[in-house]
Amino acid sequence: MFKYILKRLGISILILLGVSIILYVLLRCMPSDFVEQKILALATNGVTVTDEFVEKMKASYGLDGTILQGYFKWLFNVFRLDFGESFISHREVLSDIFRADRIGTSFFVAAVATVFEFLIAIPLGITAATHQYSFRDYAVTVLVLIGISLPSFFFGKVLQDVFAYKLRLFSIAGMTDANLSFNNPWDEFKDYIGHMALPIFTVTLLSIGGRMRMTRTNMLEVLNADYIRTARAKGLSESKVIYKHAFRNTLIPIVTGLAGLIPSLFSGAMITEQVFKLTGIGSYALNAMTQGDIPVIMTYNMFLATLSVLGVLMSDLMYGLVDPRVKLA
Amino acid sequence: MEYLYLMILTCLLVLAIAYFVNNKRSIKPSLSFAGVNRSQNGSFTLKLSKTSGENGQTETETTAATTETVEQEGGDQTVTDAEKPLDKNVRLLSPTRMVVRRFLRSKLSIVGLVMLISLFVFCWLGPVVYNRWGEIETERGVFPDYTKEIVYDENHEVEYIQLIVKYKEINSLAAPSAEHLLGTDEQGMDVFTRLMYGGRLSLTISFLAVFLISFLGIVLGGLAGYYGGWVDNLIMRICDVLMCLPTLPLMLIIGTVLDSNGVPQDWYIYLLMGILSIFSWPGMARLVRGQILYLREQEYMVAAEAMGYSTGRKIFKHLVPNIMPQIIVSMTLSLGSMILYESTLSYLGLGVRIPYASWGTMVSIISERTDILQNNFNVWGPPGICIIIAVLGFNFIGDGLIDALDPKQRR
Amino acid sequence: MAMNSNSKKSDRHYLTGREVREIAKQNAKEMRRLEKEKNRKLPESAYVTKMRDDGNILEIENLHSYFFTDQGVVKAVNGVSFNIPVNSTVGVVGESGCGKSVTSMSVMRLLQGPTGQIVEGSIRFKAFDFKRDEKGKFIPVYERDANGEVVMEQATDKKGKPMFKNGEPVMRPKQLRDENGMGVYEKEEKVFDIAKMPIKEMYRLRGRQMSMVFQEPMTSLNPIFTIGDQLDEVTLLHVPGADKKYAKKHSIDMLNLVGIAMPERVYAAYPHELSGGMRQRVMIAMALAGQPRLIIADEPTTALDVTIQAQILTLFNDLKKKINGSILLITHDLGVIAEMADYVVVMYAGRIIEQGTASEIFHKPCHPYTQGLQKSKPTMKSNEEKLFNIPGNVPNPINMPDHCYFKERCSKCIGKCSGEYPGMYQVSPTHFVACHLYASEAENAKQ
Repeated sequence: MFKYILKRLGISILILLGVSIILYVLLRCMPSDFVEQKILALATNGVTVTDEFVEKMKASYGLDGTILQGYFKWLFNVFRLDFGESFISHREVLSDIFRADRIGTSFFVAAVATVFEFLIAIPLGITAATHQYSFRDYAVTVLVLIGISLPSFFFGKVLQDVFAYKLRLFSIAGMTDANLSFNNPWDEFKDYIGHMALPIFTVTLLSIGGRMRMTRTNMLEVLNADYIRTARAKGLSESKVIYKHAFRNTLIPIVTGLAGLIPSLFSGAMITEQVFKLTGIGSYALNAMTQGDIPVIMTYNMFLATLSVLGVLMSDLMYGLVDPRVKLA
Repeated sequence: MEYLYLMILTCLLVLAIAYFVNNKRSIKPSLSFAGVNRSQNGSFTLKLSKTSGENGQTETETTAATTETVEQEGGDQTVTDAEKPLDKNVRLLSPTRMVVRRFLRSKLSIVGLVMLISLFVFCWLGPVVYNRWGEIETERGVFPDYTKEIVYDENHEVEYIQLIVKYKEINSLAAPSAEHLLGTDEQGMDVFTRLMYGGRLSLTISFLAVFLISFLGIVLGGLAGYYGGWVDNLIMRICDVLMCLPTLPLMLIIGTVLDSNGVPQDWYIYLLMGILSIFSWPGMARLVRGQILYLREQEYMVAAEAMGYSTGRKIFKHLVPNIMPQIIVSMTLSLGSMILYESTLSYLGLGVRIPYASWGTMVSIISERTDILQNNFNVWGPPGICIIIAVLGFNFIGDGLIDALDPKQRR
Repeated sequence: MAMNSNSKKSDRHYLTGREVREIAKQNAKEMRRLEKEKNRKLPESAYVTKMRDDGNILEIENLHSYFFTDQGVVKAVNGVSFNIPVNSTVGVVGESGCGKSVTSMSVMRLLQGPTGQIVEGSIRFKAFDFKRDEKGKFIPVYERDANGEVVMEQATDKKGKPMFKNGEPVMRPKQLRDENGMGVYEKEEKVFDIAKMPIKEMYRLRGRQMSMVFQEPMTSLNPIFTIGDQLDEVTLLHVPGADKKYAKKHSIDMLNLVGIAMPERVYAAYPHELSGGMRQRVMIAMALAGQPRLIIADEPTTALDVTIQAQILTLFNDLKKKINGSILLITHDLGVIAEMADYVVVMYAGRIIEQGTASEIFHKPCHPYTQGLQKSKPTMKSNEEKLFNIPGNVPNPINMPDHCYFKERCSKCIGKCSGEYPGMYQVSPTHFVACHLYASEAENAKQ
């Protein structure tokens, strides 16, 4: 078991190296990188820019030298846990990302949405499977497929238009209302929820579909299995057959799927955050990417890649724990 | 070109009408319950003799003889089901028909088909019919106006009519009217026309991307699965790396890289989606590889091996037909997700750029202009709805296909 | 018929789209009706009947079980009638696809809906179940002293502490207990018509009154529960008042009964850790745990190798004596039938073609099909080089015409065979055969 984990971790590190190479090379291919944009801005303001100045500036951002040199420098720094500082804000990247209003916001939205997703999708999936081909099945399937098919930016904007502008039920965008001062924490909380409700709703609705379909397919497969017939032959009531024997088997992929959710919990919903102007990690990264802020982009993407590698590993380990048939070796 | 579309449409219409007319005419009232035979009554021999009696046959004593005589006549009409061998009595569905049947039984897949076909007709044939405006044509209407000036000059009443030509610069954000069915956007371009051209682009791009993904996925996954060993190892490790790359950020980076390299605007989105496909094939490759590994373990593959079939025959006769269903389903579903990707990129300003139209680009206007979001639904609503219809259509069809192609179906 | 001639020759074995649509429409209607019937609520009087013959535990009469498929209605069981006397083994033989398993599934009401349905007929089953009061609760049997007075005892709460009310001990009648310490309840004999029962009422019969051993031991156990969990479940469900401790003891007893050497270890194991033979034993133990009166064994030995097969069969024979019940044994193996059965039913294409006592079927087979089956059994005695086989296959039971289904494969075909389906002719008091060859013999026997 221990050996297995070690081996998997070793492979994961190799994968991450590969990912970092691709990312770094791509980033350095951006000709209009941050320095050039800055110099262009200076030049348009009438400042004469000498070649010497350009070199100096590049060096100060660590962009001098070839791509290979730059990559190894970055790698070396990473091993010292130094991820550089943001070109834009000139702050340490790590501390900039792991701030309560950045990753905290994203995590809050994702976590609440995930909880709702599971609470809604799994019962729906089970009813759809146990009533296969019934009206209920079709209704659930149609609703869920509509959910999958919604483009997040469009749906977010429609929600904003309807609930924030027209009905004025929720706040339009941003994190807090700037012109309000709160007397007690309850009001503050209410305001926070008012801002978070629409993003959470968007993320939840878009993700229910996949989960529900997965549950339905698994449940159908299990319901057709021979051991379900055995359970019925024992004299168990239909609800016990479904909720004990069948559901426990469908739970296996659901539980292992939980580990696969780790990346999405922390990565932030880029588009949704942009639509609702949340200061989460997603919109932060989006901003960095349009401006060529290499340290932030590298750190953010490597963070995501690490999470997804860990997610895969975790879900494999979960399999070994949950399913008695699987032995990890 | 446009006339070609028109011709195709006409042909399709004619075919459809022909099918329905044919359908109505040939429904026979004699069709009996649930495929049970048409003549399943008690007295078989008697009935048989009577029918053959018309041909001048006398009633024969043993039934065996009757059967023979009838069969000699070759009249397959006169052989009643009772006299056919029992196995011949059973009329089944051919496997393809069974799939089609199951697919069409689900009303969802029919709805999906209708949605997609109407979208395609709308996008490709629409501009042929509704061609008053071009895709990137801004309406700069010339509005002749004149002023009347009466000047009295030496007791002569002279009327000067001075013609002043007023150019209304841009007829932007016009309300829907007969002139502009869905009004105009803030650039003064006709929304309805752009909707059709945008659809062409969105649909074409997603098809191209999906075909590229499937091609790469099938070839690489097939290689990995079939040859195994170091080939498999190499390809799968590449897959792992690519799967760990977050797609949307990656596309944003590549978008900026392409942007600054001066890629021409009309090629830009194709290139971007091409690169997206290069990073998205691992999913398909894994599916194909997994299936091949599974199939190779199956008895019939072992049998094919034992019978000494050539590699080509094994692959194309035995492997490909078995993987095809999964590939088709996965392709259908990824068509929908490609449309979503394209529109998201366009929304972020990295896909198709104004003045060229794509559904995502048309919606993207509301990311900055809250006034348009609130007041001009006719500008951003229709493209958004089109995206939903297209993706939903593909998802409905994909869902129907999953059910139809599943051999373990309950019905 | 005109339609046939219009369609191309190659198409003749395939249904047209229009026909399929028609079939699907009809099926949907029929299935909806039958599903509704299955789930409706009925008063008990609607499905409680009387046995035709009190010596039987199960009487199947004119059973029709159909599958409503896209290709037409598959009449998997088409008018089957036979009885299972108390304390006997009835074997059902036939090739695969002849409706044996569907018959047994119909008895358990386990046909996969909505396609599989019992359409007609009745299945009468004599249950010896707990008596219920108006609220549906079991009625306990109380201990009585020599005078016939009910013995009273002090009531205890859930923790076993004696209960007091206002300082006075609370008294209650003392329930009779069996040797295991389980409370005894009143039982009564009742005859149910299973085919008419609402599916919910079947929970009363399955497991406790009749249980089933399935033919796939490898997949019939739930992979994520231990053997113990799955066995205990039966006991907890069917023995009133049973707790976990008792259930475990009972389960281990059952495992012992089916000849498992280390019951404690198997009790804690997961199904995938056991071999096929062990799993089949576990399945049998599970079927026995509810102490049923009828065990349906659906090809219990098909998936097993010969030595295990012999062990399992011996086990069944012993068990029948121990539990004092009846067995419905379904198999395609004539050897197994010869070993086990008292009565034999031979099925072909959804119908019974011959039935009688085991010795009658084996020593004096009447139907050409049964004779063929006998001949196709390899023996050491026969000197023939080639093993006899019956030409052709079992027909797919869609669109069956009304004549003997075996006609084309039959070597003794006579003119009458093209006529309507032969009725059951009686050749001896216990021996029936559905073949025109015996029409006259049956007449003689009557006289």
